[in-house]
Parts: sequence; C-alpha cells; structure tokens
Amino acid sequence: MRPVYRNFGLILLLAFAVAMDIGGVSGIATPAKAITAEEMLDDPKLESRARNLSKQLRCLVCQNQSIDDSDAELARDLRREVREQLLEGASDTEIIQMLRGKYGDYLLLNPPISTGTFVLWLAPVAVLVTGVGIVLAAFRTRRLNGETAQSPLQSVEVVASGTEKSKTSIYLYFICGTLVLAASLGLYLLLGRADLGDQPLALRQAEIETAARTQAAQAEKLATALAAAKQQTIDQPENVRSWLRLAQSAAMVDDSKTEIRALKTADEMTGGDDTVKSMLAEALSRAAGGQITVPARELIASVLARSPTEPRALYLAALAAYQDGEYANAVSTWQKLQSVSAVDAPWMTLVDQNIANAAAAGGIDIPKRQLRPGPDQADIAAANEMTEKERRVMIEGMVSRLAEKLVENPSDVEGWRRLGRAYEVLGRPADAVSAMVSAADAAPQDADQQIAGLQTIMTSGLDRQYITQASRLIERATQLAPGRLDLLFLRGHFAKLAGNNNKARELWQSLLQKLPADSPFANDLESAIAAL
Amino acid sequence: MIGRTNNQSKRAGPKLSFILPLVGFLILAGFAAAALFATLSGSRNPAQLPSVLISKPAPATPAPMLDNAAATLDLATFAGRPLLVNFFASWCAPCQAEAPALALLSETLPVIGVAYKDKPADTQAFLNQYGNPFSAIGVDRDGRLGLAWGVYGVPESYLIGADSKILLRHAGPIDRRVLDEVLIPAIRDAQ
Repeated sequence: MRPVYRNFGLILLLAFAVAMDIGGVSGIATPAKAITAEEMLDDPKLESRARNLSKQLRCLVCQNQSIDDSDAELARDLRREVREQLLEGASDTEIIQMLRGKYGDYLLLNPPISTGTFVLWLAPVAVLVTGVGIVLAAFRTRRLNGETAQSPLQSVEVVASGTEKSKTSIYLYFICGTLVLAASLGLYLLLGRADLGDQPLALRQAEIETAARTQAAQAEKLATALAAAKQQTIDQPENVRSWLRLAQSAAMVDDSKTEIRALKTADEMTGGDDTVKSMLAEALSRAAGGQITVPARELIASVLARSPTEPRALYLAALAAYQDGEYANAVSTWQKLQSVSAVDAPWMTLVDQNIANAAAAGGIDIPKRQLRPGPDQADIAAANEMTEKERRVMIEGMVSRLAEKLVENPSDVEGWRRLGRAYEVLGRPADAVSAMVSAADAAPQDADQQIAGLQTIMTSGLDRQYITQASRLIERATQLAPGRLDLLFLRGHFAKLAGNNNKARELWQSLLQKLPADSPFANDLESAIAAL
Repeated sequence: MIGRTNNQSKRAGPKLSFILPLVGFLILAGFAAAALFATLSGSRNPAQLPSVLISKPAPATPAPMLDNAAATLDLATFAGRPLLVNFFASWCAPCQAEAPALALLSETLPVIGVAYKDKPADTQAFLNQYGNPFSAIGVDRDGRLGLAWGVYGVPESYLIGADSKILLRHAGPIDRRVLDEVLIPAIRDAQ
C-alpha cells in the first residue's frame, strides 16, 4: 500500500474543487448596495417587488453581480426599466419575460432547466454521487485490508512494514508542511515585512529632482517657442512658414488642436500642398493616439494619388494597412518608401523595424537582403562617426560594391535607383544620371521610372549631354502615361533644349490649362513660356 | 502462497482508488484546458453573449436624429436591403478603433449609427475626428433604445437582412478578423 500515491488523485480533485469554489464565492463576497435613493419608488410594496426582481437579474456588464448590486450604467438602466414596468402595473413574470426576450436566459441569475442547462444543474449531483462512491469504495478496501491484517495467515512482517510505511509518510507530510511554512515565513521576513523602508527610492531622490528640473526647463523652453511661433503667425499671417513653425512647436508640446489648426491654415494657403496635407494627416493621427483615422486616410489617399512617392504619406499609408491587419500591403508600402528614400534618410531604421514587425505579425517571409536595401543602418551610423573624408571613402566603397552587383544583375530596378541616389549624394551627377537611365531601361513598362530618370537628367545640369537618352525615356513615358502633368513639363523642357520652342510652348500651355489658377507653379510656368 | 495472493488483491485495491479520482481530475482539467485554449486562441469569447433577437424583427424604437432633433430615425426607410446598425459613443475607445472598418463597410451597405448615452456635441466632435461612415445617426441619450435591442456595452453592431430581421449581432469592436470571418461572409449571404 502506498498512501501517498493513493491519495494523490483525490487531493488534486479536492484542490481543484476548492479553487473553483473560491472563484465562485469571491464574486459575491462583497455585495455593494448600488441602488440610489432617487431610483426608489414611493410605494414601499412596489419598491420591495422591484428590489426582489433586481436580485434575480444579472448585470450583463459585470456578469457576476445582480443588477441590485451592480453600479454599472446598464444595471441602472435595467433597474429603471423594472420600476417603470412596475408602475405601469406589469406583473413580476411579465417583466422577467419582457427582459428575457431582449437579453436571453443569461439575464437570469437562476438559469431555467433546459436542454442547454441540464448539465449545469446535474453536475453537482453527479459530482456528489461520484464522491460518495469513491469514499465507500475506499472504506471497503480498507476494511478488506484490515481483515487480512488480522487474518492469522498474514505474516507479521507485512503488518509491521505497512505500519512503518504509513508512519514514514506521516513524517514526510509533516516535514514538507513545516518546510513550506518556514520558507514562506523566511521570505516574508526578508522581503515583505511592513516596516521595511523604501530605500531605493530615497536614494534616487536627488536624481529625480534633477530630472524634474531639467524637464521643467525643457517644458518652459518649448512653451516659449510656441508663444513665439504664435506671435509670428499674428505678425505675418500670410507667410506659410510661420504657420508650419507654429504646427511644429505645437507638436513638441502635444498641443494637437493648435497643430491641426495651423496645418489646416497652411493647407488652405498652399492650395493643397502634398507635404502639408501629409503633415496634417500625421497630426490627425497623432491626436487620435496613433490610430490612422478615416479623415487622415482620405488625406493620404489624395496625396498619394497625385504624388505616389510622398514619403510621409507612404509611411502613414503603410501604417494604416498595418493597423487594418493587412500586413503584406504594409510591408510592400514600407518597402516602396525605402526604395524612394535616400539611403541615409532619418526614418530608415524605424521603417526597417516596422517592416520586420509587420512581417512577423503577418507571417510574411522577407529575405534579409530586402530588409536592408543598400548600406546597412550600422554602416550609416558608423559613417556619421567618421570624418568627412573617411565617410566619402566608405560610401564610395559601398557604392562601387552595389555598382558591381548591378553589372551582374542589370534588371534590378530598385538597385539602380539606390545607386543613382547614392551618386547624387556623392555629387557625381553623370553617374547618377546613367544609373537612373539604367533603372528606367530596366523597367520599360513603368512610367514612374521613366519620369524619375528624366527628372534626374534635368536637375543634373547635364541635360544637353543626355538628350538622346532623354528622348528615349520620353517616348516610353508618353506611351505609358500621356496625360501626366509632370511629363508634360519635362517634355516641354527637352523640346526647348532641342531648340523646338514652338513645341515647348504648346506643351507648357496645355500644362498651364490643367493647373489650378492659384498654383504658385503656374506663375513660374507662365514666365518660362514668356521667355521662350 | 496464500500470502502472495493477498498481496496481489491489496495491490488491485489502491490502484482503483488512485485511478478513479485522477480520472475525475483529468476530465475536469481537460474541460478547463479546452476552455482556456479556446479563449486564448480567440475562437471563444466569454464576453460575447448570444443575442436572443437573432432572426426576430429589428425593434422599432424611435429616436431623434443627430443632425435634426425634430426628425425621427426610422429604419423602415432603409427596408428592402441589408443594413448595419452600430451602437457607438464618443467616450468609447474601441469605437475609435473600429471607425476604419465601418468606413469600409459603408461602401457596401448603409450603416446606421446610434449614439448611445452620448452628448450630441461630443458625438459630432467624435465624427469630425474619426470620420462619419453613417447614413443616418440616431441619438439614444438615456440608453432606452439600447435596452430594446439588448445592448450591453458599446460598440455593438447588428446586421439586419432585407426582410428587416436581425441576422447577426457582434458585441465589441469590428476588427480585421471579425470583418473577414464574420461580417463580410454574413453580408454576402444577406445580399
């Protein structure tokens, strides 16, 4: 016989039952009287009926209290409903039936016996019967054992060893129990005593005070900056920059109302500038605790429809997709942002992290190579630590590695784009142009790529040398997206370069008609046409 | 010889009294584990109560409109096609979270809002900030309309079929999972 093992299952069962009981009892251990004086009915008879009914109805918010006990809003509504029905002369059963019709049997603290609940009602009886059965069976075995022990045939050794074993087990129980008690007492005396002081906090007092002072000074500085920015918008209300500065200062002190107001003003003044619109979308989302709200989404969509590479709008669009649980979309949008950003853009590390998070959340496999386009963030951090000369050497080393890779794999459009941007940063316009032209050649069906190439050619100052490449890109882009406004401008520019002033005028004039009259760019364009 | 037989019968006794309670414990623990697992994996939500109004006509309880307190919200004007009734409030954080999902839904079917226990000015500010996906908005200042629908906490959404009967109730915010797995299939069936 092994008493320890024999009781093991029973002990577990008991412990489980006790745990369940504690769970059940604690729910009703502290009944709070939630009913307020003004809720009570004047008629004491009706009031007592109301109280009685309330005790039978479950508060569906707290789920373990009656509406009589609960202080929840819904419980108050239900109490009001019960009393109103009573005043109209409804019977108790009618009231219960009416509420049951809306909230179901769950509303009743005493569930009626039905096919769904009979297990619930039967379970305690079943457990009791089983328990009695087990106890009876145990008694029977013990009595049988006792008989055999007294049997003359039973050898003395067996009896003796049995007693000895049960004695050891008692000692074992005793020792274990004492050890547990001693250990908990020791722990309490060591760590949990009520008279133990808050020494670590006291030691840090000076540190906390310094931190508070620094913080206060910082806050004052920010408040002054905000006041100055406000004054500036009053002094120069027609200057967009002053409104943007106000928005920035307001953002620093978490004054989202002022920030949004300033950005809205700036938005109106610029006639819907994409950067300002994106900043507004960001401010709206920040005011909503980081959630990309529906108005912000509309702004982002309108910005991206016009300039699909606006970095802030791209970032927010990806974040919105992430918040919707569309992880694949989020990853690809953030990757697009990375491909259009300079390799050392300040948001690259954040975007890298976000892509990794979205990929993990959506179970998307992203090759390591794609996570870090171009030089790695650590490389850039290292580059920032270096002197100007060392940095150049390092970036040029990375750029030449990228260039070598692209010779092997010339169809890598993103690679060419990165290379082009890197050359721009390094001040090598000729290389930048040929990289961007290669990117455009690698994606002949992508109008964006052609236009990006043309823009690089135009801004490089080398447009006269690259006129043949430019006409190739123009030909492709015109076939792909003849109506794009930026293309019209570029076509005009290269027509002028080729000496075809009439065609340039024609193109720019058609562009001018499509621009809003108050656009600041329209003025520039008009003077450019006049100069032709 | 006889001593040995006795010994064997003694062994059979403890075995049964050891195994029986253990089996009982394992069955109970099994139920608890199943419930815990279902809750953790999201397929069982103890806060989600079944609605008794399913396949019953939507309660016709009049409520003033948000944009015009003199007018009354009447679901009958939308009868004949499926619609979604959403109980929301400006003070309810999950209602902010489900705003994009409601905006998406409002493209496929009319979404009727009921501002539950909310000041109209607060509701208006909430709609300005988070967007207004609603075709019409009723005001339920004291929660009476909510009581008629069996609402026990905002946000709560009811899908109503073309025959004006309630098809589905979802308590809690509509997130991506609810949208894809519950609401969109139900709307497709309703249409």
